Amino acid sequence: MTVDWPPQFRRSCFILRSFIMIALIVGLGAVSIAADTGPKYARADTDGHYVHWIELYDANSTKINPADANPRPYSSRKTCGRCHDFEKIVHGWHFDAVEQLKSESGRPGQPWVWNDPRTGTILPLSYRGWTGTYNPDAVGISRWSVTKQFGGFLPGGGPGSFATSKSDEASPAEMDKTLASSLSKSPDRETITGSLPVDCMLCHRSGGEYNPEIWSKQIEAENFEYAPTVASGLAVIEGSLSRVRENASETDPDDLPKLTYDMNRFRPDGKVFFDIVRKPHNASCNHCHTNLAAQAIDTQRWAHDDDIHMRAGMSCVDCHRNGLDHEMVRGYPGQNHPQPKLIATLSCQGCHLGGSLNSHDANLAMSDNAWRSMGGRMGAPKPLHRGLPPLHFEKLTCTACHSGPLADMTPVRQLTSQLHHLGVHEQRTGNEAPAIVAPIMLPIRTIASHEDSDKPQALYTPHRMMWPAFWGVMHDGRIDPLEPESVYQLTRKTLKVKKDLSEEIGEVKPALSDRKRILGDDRYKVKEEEWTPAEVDAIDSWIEEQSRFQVDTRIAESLDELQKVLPEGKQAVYVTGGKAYRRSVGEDKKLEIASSAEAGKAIEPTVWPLGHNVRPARMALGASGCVECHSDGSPFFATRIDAVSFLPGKENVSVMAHELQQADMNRLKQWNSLFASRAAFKYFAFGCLGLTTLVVLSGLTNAIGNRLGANRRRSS
Amino acid sequence: MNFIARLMEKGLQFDNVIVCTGIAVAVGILLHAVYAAFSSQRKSRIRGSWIARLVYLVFATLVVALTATSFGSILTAGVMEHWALLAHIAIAGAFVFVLLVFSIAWSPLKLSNANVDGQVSADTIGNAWWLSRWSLWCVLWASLVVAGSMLVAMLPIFDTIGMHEITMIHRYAGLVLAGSLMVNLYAFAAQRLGWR
Repeated sequence: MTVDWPPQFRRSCFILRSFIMIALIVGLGAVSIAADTGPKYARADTDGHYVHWIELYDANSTKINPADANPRPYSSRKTCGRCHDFEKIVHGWHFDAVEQLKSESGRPGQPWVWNDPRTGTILPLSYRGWTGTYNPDAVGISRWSVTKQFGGFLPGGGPGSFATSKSDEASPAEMDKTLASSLSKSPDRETITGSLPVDCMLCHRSGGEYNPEIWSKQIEAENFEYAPTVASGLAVIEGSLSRVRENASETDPDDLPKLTYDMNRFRPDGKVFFDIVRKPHNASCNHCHTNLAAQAIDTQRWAHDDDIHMRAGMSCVDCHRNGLDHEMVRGYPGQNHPQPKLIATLSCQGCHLGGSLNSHDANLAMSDNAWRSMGGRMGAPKPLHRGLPPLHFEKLTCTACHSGPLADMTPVRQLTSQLHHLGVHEQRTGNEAPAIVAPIMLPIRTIASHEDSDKPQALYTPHRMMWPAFWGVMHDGRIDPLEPESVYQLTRKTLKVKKDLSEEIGEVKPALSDRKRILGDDRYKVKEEEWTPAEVDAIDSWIEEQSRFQVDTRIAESLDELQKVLPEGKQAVYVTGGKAYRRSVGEDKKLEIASSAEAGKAIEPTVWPLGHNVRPARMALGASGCVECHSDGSPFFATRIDAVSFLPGKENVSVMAHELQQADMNRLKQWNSLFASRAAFKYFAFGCLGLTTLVVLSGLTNAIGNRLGANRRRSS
Repeated sequence: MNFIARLMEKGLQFDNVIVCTGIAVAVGILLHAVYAAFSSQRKSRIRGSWIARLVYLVFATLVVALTATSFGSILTAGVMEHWALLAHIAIAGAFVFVLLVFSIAWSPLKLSNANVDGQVSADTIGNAWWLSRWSLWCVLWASLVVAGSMLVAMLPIFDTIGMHEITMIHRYAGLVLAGSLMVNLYAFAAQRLGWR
């Protein structure tokens, strides 16, 4: 029997049923989400040292047996990732340069610099969009090439995680397709090498047997996957993937690198001891972050001091902290960090002053006084800055006075780990490219175009600087760099350089016939040691002239070669020494310099702010008086920076710091004149003020006396 | 001093203070001028010596220039920097010396009815309108604070917070000086016109 319910009742039942279903779904969803936010991984949570005796797993999650005939390298993702949230870690600052899923670009840092001395290329690269740098995807450099070039001083991941996934689709945005197709493709051997794994041990090692130099060398040898295993000293390797030909399918497995694990490192149960620290040691950071004065390379290293914080016993990660997400505290005020309150006191200002003196910093300008008063962490002393006008805090960052090499009329040449491969055992002179100099005081946003330098937030900060050099395409008031490897392939016959363009391109040696022409029939066979001064001069001037001619000819011919693959309306240029050289019109192979309007920002130097080494207060800029900066010859404004060029004999750009700062020198000179006799003025002014006070006080006492006298007279 | 700092922190913008003070002084002067012009009061016309008047003119010019370079800059550009700051500091050097001359020429001794040198008779200033005398006192004391605060700041005595507070004292004293001088100028003008 069926009951014929009224339609209204049935509709109500339907609505009720639907409501209950939706509530159930939402409820279950909420429960599952709540369950998901719980701790996923077991943790030790001890301040003590958690001892890591662990099993090793390869990339296929197979436990490694060191006694196997062909054991695979261990995979940090599969080994460390069993107990740590690897997905969360690999999007931290050090690994997220390419995708930038979590990290923001923030204040410009040191770019990756593509350094190819054969073609005279010093190309600043960054995926982060920092001004003055070029995106490797846009230049046409594959992620694999970037990984090989820079991976030795990166902790893995980043470009190495996505070696090819985007390089094909990332058609050079700033280059048209015709041009891109006419150039040979940047090397991409990911199918052979695999991706570059994140190596936790590069940072979290406690010392011991991990060797970061081996990490760098294994990446150079293209043994990406093997690098963590070999650098950890768990195994030795024979062979290199760099010797494997492009077509890997035809490669004999015997040609692949062979690992031999150190059996002594394995316990009978197959576990290995990893000497791991939660807070990386300074040595780990310094493998990639060492900055050294070039003079220190020679004999003066003992005379150079460490950062004052290091001398006080601190470590890098005391300030440059991170959580599991590996979002690093970069240490500058205003960093856009997921947890701004937690990092508020981890900048110079936050730690030493306990808050923001300037309201320019949105993150620090908090009304929460509790946070403002939290300076002095780790025993940071509070600087008094006695007598320093507060205006300085609106014009300068802390680092302007306290960090980097002391300002000098000629900035100091510097070497850095990433750009000069410090930490790799090789001979150095200190003059290796790229030529980086510091300190140059520039408003923090004065990058290449000076676009925001007039804003109040643009604080003077010490910068490192280098002059880019590259082969490119000039069009519409700009220059786009060409892919460096393609440039090498196209120009190697015309440049005729084996190793170093700057050394070889102008190299001229007079042949016997030339000597005969210069020295005459009688003297041309005489040994060089027996030449007269006049003959030496004659030979030298000939060499100079020929060298200049050779440089012009070879560069012009190389530009011709590049021009052949360029579409109509685009011109090949070579940028170096702050100038863009192009082929002159006509048959004679001469070079001419493109105007600044034609070349645009490409010829400007690349700069990035520096933070270390911090000097003690007594060595701060201005510690000896105002005139350290407020004088006409102050290095702050008058430092001269000479561009470094790959082309010998060419006149390079030379700029003064105030030109880059776009400072009003007329006003500065007037200002400086006020400081010329400041001490005498103080005596004079205090004298005047003292006399004035006496006059006014005597008037006051007189007035009071008269008033009292008048009152007395009135009452009597 | 901390009170002022807290006040500034809570949003009391100095540019608003400048505008309000300027309006208050101007309105006060205007109201009195209207009242005096239409009232039948006609009193003695005050005249100082020409030296005293010249010193007053120089002093007033300097104060106007200092006001323009400081408050004018703050009101127009939001901050005091570049040429305005440079000019302000250069003029301030002259101000310290002129202040001494001004304090002697317009000596409070004369304000206090004591006829000291006979150049300016006690009748002319000592018996002047109370507004003239009191505003002149304000000008002198504010000038001392204005100059003193910045001179002390040139010595390595105060730390950063102290420097901030001394800067604030300098600003407010400067505002009092500018306002007092406006009133003083009006008071003397009123007496010259015989309104008082």
